[in-house]
Amino acid sequence: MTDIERRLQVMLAARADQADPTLHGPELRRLAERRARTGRRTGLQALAAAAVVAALAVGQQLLTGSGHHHAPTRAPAGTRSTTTPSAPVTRPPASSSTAPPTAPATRSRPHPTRSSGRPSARSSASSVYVPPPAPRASARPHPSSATTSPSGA
Amino acid sequence: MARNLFVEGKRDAVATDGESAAASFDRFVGDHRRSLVRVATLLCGSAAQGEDLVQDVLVRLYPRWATLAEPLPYVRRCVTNEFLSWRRRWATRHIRAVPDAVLAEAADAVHVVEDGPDPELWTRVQRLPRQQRAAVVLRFYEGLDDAEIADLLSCRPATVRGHVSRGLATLRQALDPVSEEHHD
Repeated sequence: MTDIERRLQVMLAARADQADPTLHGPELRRLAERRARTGRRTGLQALAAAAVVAALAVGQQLLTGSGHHHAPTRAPAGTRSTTTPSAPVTRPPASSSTAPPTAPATRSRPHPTRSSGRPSARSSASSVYVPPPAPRASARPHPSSATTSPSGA
Repeated sequence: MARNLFVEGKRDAVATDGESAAASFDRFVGDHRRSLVRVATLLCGSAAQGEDLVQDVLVRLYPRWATLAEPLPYVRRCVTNEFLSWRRRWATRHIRAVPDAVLAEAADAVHVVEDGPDPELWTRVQRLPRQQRAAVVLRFYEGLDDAEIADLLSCRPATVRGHVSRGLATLRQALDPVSEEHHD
């Protein structure tokens, strides 16, 4: 055995003696059980979870978007609805003369399935006809619809 | 030389009849925590990191503790492997603003002062590559032979001999460069 090996042995033994472990079995078991309850995700599991969340979000967005899309909201351009004129009128439509007050202002094209001019039963049951911006003193024109009225009024 | 752990650990860590896994685990930790943390301390370079390493290993092993027939050799192997991989992960988690080369030059210039026996040799051992350091610690602290170290490090005995030889040569050259050059 060389000098460096002997010196190494002495030094390692002396250094090891300085270690004073504080580990205890019950604490380690509690830690392991807590970790098992919480669950440590691997990278792949975390990626899969993120993908599932993203897919759910996209699906929800698509469902919400299609619901708006098929919403009975508009009559064909240039036609007047026969809905009762006593419907509450609070403000003119945002982009179309037949759009309900809740319709998004960005939708300006009528849906192809609604081009027959007759709103569906669901449409007539749930939608409220809003007349074109008539010159009523009580109705304040919406700022965004002042220049976009398809009726030209 | 402390040639102890593999031999003495084969009997006592196995759960006896009627003993629960929790009791067996507690008994194992009580009996072997000191030796495990000592080796991990020598591998990692600090007692805190060594204890963290052993804790990580034991916490991860506890859920399947009842399936281990002879826990000690397996735990020791896990500690060694965790050191080899854990050092890599540790290195990727910590951002160093100063390059290693600059730190090494500064350490050489200042001649690192550290508490404990033979700080110069300790510092040099900590600078060895991790495979060489593991082989040197297992050889000169645990007193394991090439085959046992090779089993722990998952390599061949010839590779272990190479690690030990290169590690000793590095230490020799760093501690006494003049005589080493003369010896060559």
